[in-house]
Amino acid sequence: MRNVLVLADKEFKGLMRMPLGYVVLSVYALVSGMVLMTMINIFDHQLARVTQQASQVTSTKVIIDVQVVVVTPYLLNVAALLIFIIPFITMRVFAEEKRSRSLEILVSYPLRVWEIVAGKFLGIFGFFGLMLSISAVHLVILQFISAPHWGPIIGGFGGLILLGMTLIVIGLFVSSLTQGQVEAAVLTLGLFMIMVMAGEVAGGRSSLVQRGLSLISPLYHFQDFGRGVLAVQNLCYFISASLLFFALTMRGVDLLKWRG
Amino acid sequence: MGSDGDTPKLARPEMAGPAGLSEAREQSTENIVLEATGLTKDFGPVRAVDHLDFAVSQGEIVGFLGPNGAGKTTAMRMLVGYLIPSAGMVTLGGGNIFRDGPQIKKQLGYLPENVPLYTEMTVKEYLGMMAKMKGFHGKATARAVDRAVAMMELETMLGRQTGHLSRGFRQRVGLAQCLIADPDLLILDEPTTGLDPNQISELRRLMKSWRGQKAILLSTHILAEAIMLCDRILIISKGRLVASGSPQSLAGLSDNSVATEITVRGQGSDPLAGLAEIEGLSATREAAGGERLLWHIEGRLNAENRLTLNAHLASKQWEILEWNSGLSALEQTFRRLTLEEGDQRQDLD
Repeated sequence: MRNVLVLADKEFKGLMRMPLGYVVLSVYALVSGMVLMTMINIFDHQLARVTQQASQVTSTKVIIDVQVVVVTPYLLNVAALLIFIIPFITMRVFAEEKRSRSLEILVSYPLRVWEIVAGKFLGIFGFFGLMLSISAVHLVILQFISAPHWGPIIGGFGGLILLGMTLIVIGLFVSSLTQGQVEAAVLTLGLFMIMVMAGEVAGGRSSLVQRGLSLISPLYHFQDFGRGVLAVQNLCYFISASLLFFALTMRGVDLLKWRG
Repeated sequence: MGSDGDTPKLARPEMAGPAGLSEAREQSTENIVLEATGLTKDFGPVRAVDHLDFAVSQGEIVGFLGPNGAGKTTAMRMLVGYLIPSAGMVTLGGGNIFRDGPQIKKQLGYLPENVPLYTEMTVKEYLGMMAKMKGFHGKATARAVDRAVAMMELETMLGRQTGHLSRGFRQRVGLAQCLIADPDLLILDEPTTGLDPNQISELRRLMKSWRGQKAILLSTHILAEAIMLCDRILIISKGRLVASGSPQSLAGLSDNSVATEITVRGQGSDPLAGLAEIEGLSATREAAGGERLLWHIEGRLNAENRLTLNAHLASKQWEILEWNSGLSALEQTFRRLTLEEGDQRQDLD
């Protein structure tokens, strides 16, 4: 376990010291902040309109659910944003190590493959946690605007954590198969889009195949979390997908030992 | 895992070896640190390494010598457990590198050719991380780092990012990483590539100082380096081990002829036109510019025909500007074994 933490520390600090890390954090903060501002503006307009209408009917109490108007759309948009950002923080994890041959030194050390994969995952996940902390600050701001229900918000955050965990592991898997960072980023993004679009193509249609396709989409499984609903099948999806791609990543690293 | 800086030493291996080992190797089996048996690697239809059999004993410096593309790096990658061989086995201190890897790799220090370091880390951070991954804890980590830093004279570079170091210092950091757990075995892939002459000289001095203490396997395509450093040389060509022995014994495989290059200057007809009269010599001539001629002479140049050659030139009033012995015996052996097709492996010493 100690080796895992050592590698995680190296991976996290590596991202923090690179321009890539700062760029990703900045873009995430900017875009998610803009999403929040947009949702708050919509909330304000709706509140103003409804208040005006309600003032004509003296007995009506005005209620706008901030969860519905702000929190859920914010979380869903952040989830979509992660689809585009996570490939850029996972692309270099194995691809760069292979290109520079530093992976050869790592393998010559008394480390097991699962320790290498787990350490890199944990490091990237820690960086992702930093990104989520920005969103946490965003949502705390809501406390000054309205009275959000924190249960659904915490549930939504849990969903983001699970979504991020799954997307990161998939990104590591792709990185373990590729030789270049750009190749890894493009393939990871492409894979994410295929998984998401498969669900979107299926939409609400009733055929068995199309319903099956929708189950591949990580965003499909996140939707309930975004609404503050904890559904067991969604939890199972994220955990099992993460474990599957973790195992596949280990195989990807092992494959290197066969083909060089 | 080591604690307080005490890393476990390799267990003594069983005294067994594959068939075909030379007598001299069998004599030192009890000190064998690394052994490759039938090591083979295929990449699709291409056989990159073809049934390598060799061993490295404690305290000796062994050189992998071969032209570019001979399979040296592929072999080394298998020896450290990065590549799985298509056939054969690697044992490190008696343990299988692939089965027992995490236990036995503590006694291995490896440096690939291009010295890959984590460029965003400082030298101190990098070495500290590597020490922890070798199993050091707490203060033992700092002691191990300090020891490696002192050995490679990196005191002034501790706070610098490795990506900002010169090639020479990067090499030193890479070697410090190799040495951090005081391993029994060092595997170095082309360690002098990209270094200036002073740095090469310093590195060679260091490696010589480790002779008798550590087993070192290094790869090189520079003959002079192999001769200077190695107790034993393994000549590899097209993935196969074509010769193994000390530099002296390998030199004995040559046909004892020394190719000589003579640059002469003078006027008149070519003074070496009658060279065939000097027994056993043949020569090819190249124009060296102006009045100079460059003769490349093959054949045994002993004292007698050297005198004959000198007298011949003097009688024609041609002066000798340069006289180079050209290819040494070992160079000839190397050229013969790596350029010619041949199935016969030469095991010497």
